Amino acid sequence: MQPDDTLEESESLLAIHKGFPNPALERKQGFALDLNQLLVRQPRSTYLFRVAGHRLADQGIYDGDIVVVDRAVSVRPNDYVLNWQEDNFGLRRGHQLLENDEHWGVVTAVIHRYRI
Amino acid sequence: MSTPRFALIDCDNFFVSCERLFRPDLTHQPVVVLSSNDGCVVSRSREAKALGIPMGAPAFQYRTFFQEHRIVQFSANFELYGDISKRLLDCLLALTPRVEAYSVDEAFIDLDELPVSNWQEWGSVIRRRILRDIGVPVSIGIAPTKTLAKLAASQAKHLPILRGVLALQPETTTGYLQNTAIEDIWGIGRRLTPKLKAAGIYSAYDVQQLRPRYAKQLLGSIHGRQLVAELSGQSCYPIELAARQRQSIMHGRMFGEDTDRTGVIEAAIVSLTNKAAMGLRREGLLAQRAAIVLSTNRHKPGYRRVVRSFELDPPTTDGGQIAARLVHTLAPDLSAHTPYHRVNVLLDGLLPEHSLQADLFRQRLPAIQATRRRLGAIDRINAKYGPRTIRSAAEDLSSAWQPKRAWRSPRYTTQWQELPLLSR
Repeated sequence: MQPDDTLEESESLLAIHKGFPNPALERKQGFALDLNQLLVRQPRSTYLFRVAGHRLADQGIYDGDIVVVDRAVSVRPNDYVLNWQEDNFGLRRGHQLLENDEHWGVVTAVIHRYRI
Repeated sequence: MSTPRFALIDCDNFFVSCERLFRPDLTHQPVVVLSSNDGCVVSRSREAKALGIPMGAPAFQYRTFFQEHRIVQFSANFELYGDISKRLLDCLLALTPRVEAYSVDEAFIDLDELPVSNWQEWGSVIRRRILRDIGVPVSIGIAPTKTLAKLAASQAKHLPILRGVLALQPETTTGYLQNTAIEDIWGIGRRLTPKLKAAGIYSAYDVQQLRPRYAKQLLGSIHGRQLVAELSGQSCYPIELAARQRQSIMHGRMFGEDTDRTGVIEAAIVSLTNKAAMGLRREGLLAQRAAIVLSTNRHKPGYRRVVRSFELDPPTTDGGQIAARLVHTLAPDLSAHTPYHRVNVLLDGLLPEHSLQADLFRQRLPAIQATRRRLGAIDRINAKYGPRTIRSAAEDLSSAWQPKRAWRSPRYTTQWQELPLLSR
């Protein structure tokens, strides 16, 4: 017998005994928090980048951080915008972009981990 | 001609476009992508096409040409292409659930339920959205039938004035049909082309104008009628939403270097067979026949191709057992010191596992079920602890058959260790 079947059965038994459902057992309705939901607005247009080097440290973006980039959002002046600069991907602020600057996507989150 | 019912979304040199997404510096450079094992060219940028590199060009013949013309080459990065392809489908599914993923870089969508009045405009919006959100260029053909949508997408790709989108209008259709050579019509293969040309039929327009009896005679009764109807705007092929049941599964590889070493060839056969068999188990299918094709390099003199096949009775997915028989039947060919280039393993005559419950196999059922339990246990272990945790010992006889991938780009979107870098 699968473990899940056992649980289903005991839940329904409990429900009969107590006459009303125990909210703690209503795991089908409640979903655990999902970081994807927080960090990724639209999966199909979201790409992840890895920070290499210390050039962005003064912006609070450190070597090894993961940068979440969404291609589908439009640029606002204060956004960090990813674009291609002489053989490397780099960041600019939205208001620094020139008229003809192509931008690759907009940074929507930076993930910095303290231990792995 | 009736209203548009189908759109074909077709990626422009898809593999090259995926590579360029993470290498914007290559946007206007000639770029090619090579097949697995770096054998031949499978995708070419517009600039590479302009330099005259044909589709399927054998890479080893073009090495110096690539260098002289500074053509950037990539080994195929199928994980990347697969992920981008999924993103694209997701984008189309946001428009309508009626999407048919026709191949890795093409999808049909059914437009019936969409409230649109200007289809040319709508196509341009979708094209821009895909380019912005996903990052790859597509061509879009919109028409009353799938065959015409395919034809329109091809015109959209090749005529710059269309800017990647063609919604066929009744008054312009004839011109585009005249502009399409028969070999570019969907459903007219290399086999039919010479026959049609001999009959003086050169364009899609000529096919559309065929009298029913003549179409039947040239193209076969069903195919002929449907093709003429489709080109005339009467839809015969609906969107296929459910995945069709597979008829066969094939896994093939080119050897890193041509080889006559039995160990290398056996290792490849066992590994490919196990992979194919596992694929069948995942889909709940059984194979009734196994075949193997072993060939030398067809671009070198003395081309030789060995084909062996046999029935599997009872039908099975036991990769080890199938591989052992394949190796056994090939024994005479393996001792002949021929340098082989490529091996393909094919399992076909597929049927659903549950069909074995039939009376036909009743006596053998216990043995079949025991095999199924053993293989199921192996699959579960490999799913939990990583692919090939349990594998046939013969797979380790040699790793020399593993494909060459000298120029593969990072798997940017599927591996944490290979994310694109941000450094400025």
